[in-house]
Amino acid sequence: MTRERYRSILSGKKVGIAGAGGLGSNCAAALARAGVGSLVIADFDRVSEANLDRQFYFLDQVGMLKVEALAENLRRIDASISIAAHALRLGPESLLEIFSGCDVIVEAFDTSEAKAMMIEIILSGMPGTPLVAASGLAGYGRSEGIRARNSGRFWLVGDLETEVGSESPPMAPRVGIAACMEANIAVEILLS
Amino acid sequence: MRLSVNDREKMVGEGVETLQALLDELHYSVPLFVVRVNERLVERADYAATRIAEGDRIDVYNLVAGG
Repeated sequence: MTRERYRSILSGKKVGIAGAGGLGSNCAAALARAGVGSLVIADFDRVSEANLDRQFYFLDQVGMLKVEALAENLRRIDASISIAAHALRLGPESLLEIFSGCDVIVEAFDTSEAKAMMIEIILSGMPGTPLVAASGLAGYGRSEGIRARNSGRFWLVGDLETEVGSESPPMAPRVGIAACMEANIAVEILLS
Repeated sequence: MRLSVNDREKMVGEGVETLQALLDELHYSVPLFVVRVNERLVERADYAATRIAEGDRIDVYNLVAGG
C-alpha cells in the first residue's frame, strides 16, 4: 500500500485512547504521525515534572491538564487532526459514552484495577469494537519480552509480569515500545 | 483431568468442571486478569458457565500496573 493510500484511509478513522500517561501520550503521537484523522483522549491528570522522563510532554507544560497539553502537541504534528479531549476520570458509563463511534479503542491506564474495569466494560458493552490493552512494561531491557497476544477483537501487549514499582520504575524506552506496539496494532486493524 | 495452563501441564480434580472452579483452584481471587480458553477470550460474566474439559488450553494473563 502506498503512503498516500494508507494516509487517506487513516485520515477517516477515529481512535479512542483511555489515559494520557506514558502509554497514551506516546501512542497518540504515533497515531497522529501515522495520519489517523481523529482521536478521542481522556485523562483527569495534570503534567508533572516527573512525567517528563517518559511521557510526550515538555517542561513548559508542567501543571497543564494532560489532555490539553497532548492536544497542543499533536496539533503541532498535524494541524488538521481532530481531537476530542476529555479531562475526567473514566468510569464504566463515561467509557461507553466517550468512545462510542471509535473504530479502535486503546487502553492506556496505569492501575490494574482500571485496566480490568475497562477491558470488561468495553468487551461487554461495545461488541464489535476492537480493544488494544497493555500489561507489563516497567523497567528496561528484555525488549523481546514485550509481545502482543490476540483473541478475536481483543489484543494485549506487554510482558504480563513487570509491574511498575519503586524497584522497577517505568522508563521511556520500554514504555515507548509498548505504546508504539499498541499504536502499531491499531493501525493494522484500521488498515485491514 | 489434564489441562494446559499458561503453557504448563496441570492436573486438576474431577470436581473442577467450570472455568470459575479452575480459577478458584488456582487461587486467582482478585479479578485482575483476562482468561482465554483454547485461544478464545472468556468474559468475566461467563466464567461460571464455561465448562472445561480434558486437554483444554487455558491462558491467564495478569494485568499488572503501569501505563
